[in-house]
Amino acid sequence: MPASRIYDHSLLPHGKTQQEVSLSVMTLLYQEMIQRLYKQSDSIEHFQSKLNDVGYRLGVNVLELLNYRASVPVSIISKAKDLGNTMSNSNTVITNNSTSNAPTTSSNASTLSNFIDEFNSLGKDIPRMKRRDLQIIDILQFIHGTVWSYLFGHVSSDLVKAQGNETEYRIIDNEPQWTQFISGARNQLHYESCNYMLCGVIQGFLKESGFPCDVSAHWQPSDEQPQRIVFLIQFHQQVVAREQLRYSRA
Amino acid sequence: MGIEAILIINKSGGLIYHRSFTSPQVDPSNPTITSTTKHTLNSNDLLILASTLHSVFAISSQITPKALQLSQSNINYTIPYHPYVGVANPQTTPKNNMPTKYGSFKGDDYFKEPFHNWNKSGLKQLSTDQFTMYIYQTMTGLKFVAISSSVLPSGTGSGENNNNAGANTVNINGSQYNMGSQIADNLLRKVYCVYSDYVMKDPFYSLEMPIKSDLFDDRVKSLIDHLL
Repeated sequence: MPASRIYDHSLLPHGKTQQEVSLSVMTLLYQEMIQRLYKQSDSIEHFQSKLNDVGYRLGVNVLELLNYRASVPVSIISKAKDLGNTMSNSNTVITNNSTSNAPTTSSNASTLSNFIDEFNSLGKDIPRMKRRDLQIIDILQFIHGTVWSYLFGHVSSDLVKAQGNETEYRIIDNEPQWTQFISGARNQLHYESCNYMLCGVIQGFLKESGFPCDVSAHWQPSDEQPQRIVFLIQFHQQVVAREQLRYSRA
Repeated sequence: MGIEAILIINKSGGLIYHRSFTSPQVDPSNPTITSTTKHTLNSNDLLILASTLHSVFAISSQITPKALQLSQSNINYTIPYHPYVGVANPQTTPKNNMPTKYGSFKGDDYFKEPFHNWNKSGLKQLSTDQFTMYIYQTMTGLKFVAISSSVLPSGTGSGENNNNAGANTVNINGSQYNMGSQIADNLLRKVYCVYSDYVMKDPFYSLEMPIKSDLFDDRVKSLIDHLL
């Protein structure tokens, strides 16, 4: 098998295990990026917006990918997983011994053609596919659950609506993965700023799905969770007004 | 083995981290020595100590016997892994007390395999009748120093071990000297693991400068606390 197959990965989740990257490398890369952006910035606000922009692009891509995955029926996904497994198994066999496994490859070919047939008949599943999220609470649940699971392997710690303010919501992460090695107690502003990449992801995700908003990060440590970060999402007035017009009387 | 202090010396001999773990109470394992009688070094003394250690380290690598230098390839510098040095043992600790993870290291310990000793010709251990000092050197020249209150029993000959090049640790298996040194290396390598996470992955830390991170402090403290 070639060393890197990242460019020809299927958009569907496939294979036995979830794709994982080394946390050590990820956080090292993250700190290098922060260091670089920080040096290029004139002020802390400038730095925050630069980091936010990086995350924004990621958020847009994550929106497309996860919505696509969520809309494909489960039966297709499980088939794709099986196919991914057999394909990767047979690939290793082929490289080892290319002559003596004709039966395996032919059975693979039939699995593949079955899969393609099935996939072409996707049209009949369209009415059963996931609809676009139209309500604030639905889209936030999607971020809290699906997006967080995709990025970090677990759902976010909490999702709360601000008391007495229609436009504000909070997503709480007790152990932020990307910034877990940066100290919040030493410099609160620096620590909060380092989390603006994830703010950008949330903002990009929400803006592109039709919920323009501003997102900011706030450090609210507790005794057990010294790194606890609250992402404050402030929707623009028009979003809340639209929601009230459409759903309040129903 | 009671650890009294941890020091980190950068590759140019500057002290970049120091933490003392002595408490005013009498050490239960060794009631004759109270911890308060020792460690009255101020920060200036510590800087001098660090640079002196750095120089002695360099000198000792110069005076390594020629025979030993030539036979380097025959010596096995692998240090065995001792399970759960400085971390909670999952077999004896209740589930709810277990820390969930160790930074970016997966599993219930920082590492689980024997490792290579980079300190091939420098000072490795300093034994006195007051304390024992262990030095772990990384590939990049960073030195982690642990000062332990445990003293070698008389007769082991503390003097002759002063500038050994790691050969004794491999050859004399099972002696108390050997065991202490191996555990110290395991512990200091874990401090290095913590350093690689909480210092090297901090975007606001500048290389070779003193370490001022409360997260790093906490992790080192937890390593020492779990050490019996």
